[in-house]
Amino acid sequence: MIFGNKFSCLVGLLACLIITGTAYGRVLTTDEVWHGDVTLADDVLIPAGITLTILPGTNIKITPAENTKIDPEYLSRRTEILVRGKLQAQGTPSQPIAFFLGIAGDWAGIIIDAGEANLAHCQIHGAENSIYVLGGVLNGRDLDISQNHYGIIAHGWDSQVDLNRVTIKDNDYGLVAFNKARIKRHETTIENNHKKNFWSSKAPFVKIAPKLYELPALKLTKVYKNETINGLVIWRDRIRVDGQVRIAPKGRLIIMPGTVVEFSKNDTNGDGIGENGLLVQGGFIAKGTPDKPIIFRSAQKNPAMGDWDSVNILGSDQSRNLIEFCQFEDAYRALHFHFSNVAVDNVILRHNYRGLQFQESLVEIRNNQFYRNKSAVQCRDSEGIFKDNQVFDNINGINFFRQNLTVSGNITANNSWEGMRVREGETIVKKNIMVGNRFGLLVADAVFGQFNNNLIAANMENGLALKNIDHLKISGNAVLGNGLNGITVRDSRGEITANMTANNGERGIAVMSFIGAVSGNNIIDNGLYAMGLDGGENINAPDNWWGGADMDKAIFDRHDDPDLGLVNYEPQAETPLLFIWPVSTIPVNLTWTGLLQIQEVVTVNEGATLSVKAGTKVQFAKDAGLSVLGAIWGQGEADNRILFTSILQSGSNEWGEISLTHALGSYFNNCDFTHASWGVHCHYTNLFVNFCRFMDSGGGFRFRSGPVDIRNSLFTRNHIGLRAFMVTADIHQNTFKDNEIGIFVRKKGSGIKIYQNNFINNERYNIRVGDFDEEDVDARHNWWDGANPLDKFFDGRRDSGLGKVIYKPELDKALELAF
Amino acid sequence: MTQKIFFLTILSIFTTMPVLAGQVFILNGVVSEVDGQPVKGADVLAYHSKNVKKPADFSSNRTGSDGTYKLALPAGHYWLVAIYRHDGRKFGPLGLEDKHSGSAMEIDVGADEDLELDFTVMGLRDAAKNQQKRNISLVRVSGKIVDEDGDPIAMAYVMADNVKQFKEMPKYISAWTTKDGKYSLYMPKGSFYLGAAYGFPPNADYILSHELILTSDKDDADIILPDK
Repeated sequence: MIFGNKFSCLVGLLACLIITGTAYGRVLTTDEVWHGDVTLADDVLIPAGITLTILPGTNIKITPAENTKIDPEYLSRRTEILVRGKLQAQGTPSQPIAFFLGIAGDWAGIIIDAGEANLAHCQIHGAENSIYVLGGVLNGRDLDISQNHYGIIAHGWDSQVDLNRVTIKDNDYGLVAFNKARIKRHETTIENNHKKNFWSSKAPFVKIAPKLYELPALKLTKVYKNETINGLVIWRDRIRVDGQVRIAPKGRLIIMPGTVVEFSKNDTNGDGIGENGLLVQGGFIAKGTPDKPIIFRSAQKNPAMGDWDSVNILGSDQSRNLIEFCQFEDAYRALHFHFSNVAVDNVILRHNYRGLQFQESLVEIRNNQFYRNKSAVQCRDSEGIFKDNQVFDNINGINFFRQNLTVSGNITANNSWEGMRVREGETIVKKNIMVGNRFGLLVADAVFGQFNNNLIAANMENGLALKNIDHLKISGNAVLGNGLNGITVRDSRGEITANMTANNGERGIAVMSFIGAVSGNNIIDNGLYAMGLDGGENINAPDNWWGGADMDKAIFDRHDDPDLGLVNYEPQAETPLLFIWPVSTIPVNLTWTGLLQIQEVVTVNEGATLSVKAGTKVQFAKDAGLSVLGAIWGQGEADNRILFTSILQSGSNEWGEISLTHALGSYFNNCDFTHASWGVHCHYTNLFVNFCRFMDSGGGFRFRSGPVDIRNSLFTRNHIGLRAFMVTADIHQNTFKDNEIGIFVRKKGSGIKIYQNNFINNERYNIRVGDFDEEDVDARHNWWDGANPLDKFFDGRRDSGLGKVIYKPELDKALELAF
Repeated sequence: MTQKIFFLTILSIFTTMPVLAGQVFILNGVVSEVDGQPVKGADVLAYHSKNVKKPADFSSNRTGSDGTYKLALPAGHYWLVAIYRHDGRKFGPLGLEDKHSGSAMEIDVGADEDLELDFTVMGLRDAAKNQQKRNISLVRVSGKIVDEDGDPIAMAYVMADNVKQFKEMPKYISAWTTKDGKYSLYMPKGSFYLGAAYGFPPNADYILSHELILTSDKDDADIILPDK
């Protein structure tokens, strides 16, 4: 049996390509063996079905490279060994395998992307991540992992790591688990890593419904091979492309709504990636509709990512090309423009190596979905608009280089690496949402641009990272609840002002080197420090609100380490600074604290909970409000109440309402609602309201269904204190005072129980029964202010078709209720 | 695709002065706006490293109304930027109202030469204009598709051609409108006929009835589309 194994191995080796010396970067197309001294000059990809074997004693010297170009099949800007097949690197105690840098710099490391790596007696140094398991299997035995930025990262529940006698030390981070990766360790040594030996972080899964266009089976109308289109050609029904179709500069291809374009796979170089596609040099109109989309897909029986190449639009700027209501799937680089003018609207780009890439183009990219691509968007040197797109569940999200784009209203979520990266250029990034990614927003080497009014929250590592920026004012961003630091700043100059940086895992703002001012921000409730320095320069940080923190503990500077600079945090703001909430959606669990102004209707998405911390004051603009589809927790305290009010605070109906729909598990404790159209408007929600005050509004509280429990609360100076419609509710130990109508039972009053309340001086009615409500209302055991209760009821006693208020027995004195 | 490309102008003027130990060289030039107007009140800053986000190692005099500066530098390797602060501050962070020359210029000062080096500074808007990718031979026509009451129409589009009755397809077609009814077309200058429709493709006998002579961008070309 042993002989058999050796023999098999020998035969296997003979069948492989054997490499010694320089192994230039490439996609392996056959099994390969490396031995001796190997110089890795560029990326290497081991595709599924291919094995790279590295023999004992091999030294792999890496030439580091970082550039802006990443071919779609790769993942990092640095030199990488990317494993989608199998990597066998089994050294021996006397002949270990070494991965190391040839010159200064760093390399990406070994990235396992749904592949398998079996490593023994390997030494890995000088990498960004020595081994990054992004789905797939790592079996590591007797490994020496040191002098990397990250030692080993396992990311996601589908990552399986088994480590035996592995040493991970002298890295910045040792062993990292993201999103419930499965890691087994035996006799591992993880120590002396500079920042953390162990770290695990989990991002919330942000629920975004992926769209999918579908069409009925269509007849095949034409098959194209390698050919050129001149003049006007119209495609409809089903087209198959068995080659590369070129639309010549004077040609024009128009694709009708409801068309399917299928590409057969033709892989001449054996790299696993199909080459058939479209090359458009003339005009291109693919104008689908919501009911009749256009689908670009693989013609293979079992479609796979990379089956076909791309729709390439090159040098086409004599009019605007249109791609609307289309779907692109299983491509290598689904949409690619260069020197072109293109609008992309309502398009789905899914399961491609890369969804969209453009350079030197004028673009409008709106309302599209990018999901389950290796990289969603990569572009440079272009101008235009990138608006209202959803970029989620990709490995890399958005990468903008040297752009002149206005980027607004987008959401990047659940991307394994970066939500959005912006380097150089004049990009304006405003009112976007970056949540649940590993990194939220990275800005590097930027001199011009704007990065304002974004929500950057619940990312696993850093929220907003600024590196080598100048001339920028970073303001109005909500940087909340990120796993490590809220904002990190390195080698930068500018202003960081009017941001909300709260509830981040370690530092609200981490500063390596920065010239400028950090002022006018709310920096509160962060895990380790409000601000932490990692460099010797002093930082000016006056006029921030630090949440009343003990500043000796909140600041990490020279007082803690003599090599660091000082944070000059005086004078401090004495009260919370007004923060204008930047976006209209809350897609993840967040906490509001301080003084906020809401200028539109903000929706708390299904699955998300908005916690409002005690002492928070929320001001709403005219017609603004909250729409809660997830949950809201109003966490006021008796001596530190929450206030929901208008900006003006002068009359009723000055803002909309807090609307709850199926917002299960919501509650309000010690909250005040004033100057609203309706303080709370609740549908189909089990809501608990305790020690709240509803005042000076068109209405205090209205609801349908329930069950609702309202107790210990005050309803005063409203047109209607409480309005119920077909409900199940307990209303008890409240006071209804000085309203025009105390309680209006609109319909189906039999499910409401009103007891142990005070009704005092309500102008027209204490209880009014609705015009179509034939059911009696149970209102026994209440105090009616010593008057004849019947005088302040509108019920069946006044209109014979209505139900009656059952009010006896009454309380003989007012309840003593404190608010 | 016609591009405007932004260059910093570097002119070297060689002199015959001998190099002496400790000798100081004079760097001079002009700081100007994108449109060539000299900038008064700018500083040219020199750094010993590529980290130019710190107090400068050397600073010029502040430019006068002719935009000229002088900067005395010992021999060495430098990274230079020009900065204009609108409020006259000499130090501190830059804001959006301020102007910057972009990526640092890397130069060697020494040997037997003085240097003349001009800078162009710009704010965000200038920088954005500088990067325009649009084909400048085209004009942009935009507006709204509205109904007879003037209300915007969603899911309609505008088309244009040189003739009233196009063959098979119009030459120019806009994207579907959203609820704001807005559309845009990129077309060459000239005389065109425009129309709007709900369904795609348009009817074969469709007549484009709105005549438009385009000499420059037009942003108010609203088109009335009767109800379906």
